[in-house]
Amino acid sequence: MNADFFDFEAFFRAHYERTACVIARVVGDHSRAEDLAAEALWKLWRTPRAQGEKAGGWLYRTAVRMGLNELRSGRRRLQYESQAWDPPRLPTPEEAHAAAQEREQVRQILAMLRERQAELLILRSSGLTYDELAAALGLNPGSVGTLISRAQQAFRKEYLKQYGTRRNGR
Amino acid sequence: MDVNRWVDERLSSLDPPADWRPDSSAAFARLRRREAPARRRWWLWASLSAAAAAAAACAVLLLVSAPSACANPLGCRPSPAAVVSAPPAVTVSDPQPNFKESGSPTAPVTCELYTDYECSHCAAFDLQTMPQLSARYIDSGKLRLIHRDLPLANHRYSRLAALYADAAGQAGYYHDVASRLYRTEVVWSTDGDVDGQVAKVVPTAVMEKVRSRVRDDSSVEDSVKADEAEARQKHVDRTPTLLCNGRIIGPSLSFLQIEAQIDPLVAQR
Repeated sequence: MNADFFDFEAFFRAHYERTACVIARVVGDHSRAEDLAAEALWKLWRTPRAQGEKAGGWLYRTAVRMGLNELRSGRRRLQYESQAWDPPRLPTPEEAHAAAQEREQVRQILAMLRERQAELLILRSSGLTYDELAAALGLNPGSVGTLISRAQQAFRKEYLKQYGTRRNGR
Repeated sequence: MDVNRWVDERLSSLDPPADWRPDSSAAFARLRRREAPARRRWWLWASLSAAAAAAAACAVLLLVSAPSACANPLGCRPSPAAVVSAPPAVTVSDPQPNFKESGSPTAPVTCELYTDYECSHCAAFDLQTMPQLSARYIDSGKLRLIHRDLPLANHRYSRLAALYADAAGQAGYYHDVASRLYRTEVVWSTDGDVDGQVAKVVPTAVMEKVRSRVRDDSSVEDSVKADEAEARQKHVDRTPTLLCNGRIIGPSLSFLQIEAQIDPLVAQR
């Protein structure tokens, strides 16, 4: 893709679903995630310097930051959870409650981590490859593995500090 | 302790449900609807500013070039945007047969550009690439460009837009109207008001003639059909397509790509 001829509509269609999924992991609500995904893509259209070869990386970085900002601000989050995220596969109310609690705890830890570490973990769990992560976050591809490992250590340390080994205790 | 697995297990709790599929088409349509009023406001603001600037420029010319307001009447012709607020009264000019062509007839390269007014790629091409193409090749006499209409069947108003552009072209307003249609495509492709957009860049007297040609003049429709026939004959079925000295430029129509393929054609002559 070249910035001289940025096909916004095609780009939108190609990246919207994945962008919404990245944001949904963080904010926890489908409709809000879809709104923010469209917003991130629109932001890209209004930022000519972001268009071109690195548009994908720019978009995912922006998307995950928008999600984290939303998470940190705490706006509407409780309301989302009750609306949309309880998976029907959980058979009992206790399990549903435990799953919801787990998601809440994971998001709280992500909000506490350094921004770069949270971005790495979210984008990694959204299925981005090391190369895509490097492009999105402006990292040396050779150091992505090490940085992910550090981010995981930091996540685990903070999680155990906040919640101990309760719940599954692994 | 496998930290990687431990963390992955926790992060996997955030996985969206498998049956959730964000609908990109619906989202894109929502975005277009949401942005349309903002774009209208932007156009209004830009048009009023341009009108004010044009009025000021003409006033200065009147003061400095008496007794004639303009030695060259075209020098005071309002810009397309300037006519939005106050279309001037002008006489309707004679039909202009070659309004879809620009550049020197003796240019070493002849390109045909197939476009559809409701195609966002064509709008992007007109907005981003065409100025570079004009400056580098057309204005310097290296390239002659022929615009061809190829309204696609899945675009509801693109044929109507082509008719308006061609009718306006016969009155000398082809580029003004084409440019306006591309820049406001997001608006008229939603509300269908092609006429309203064209009326903003064409003086009132000319607009009546344009409407009458769109309605009654079969030569306008014939012009579009002739372009479609050219497209069929040359196996062009998508827009925008640029065909230079018989070769399709591509696969993308970035200016770099165009440059890379046109320069050798220019050098051959």
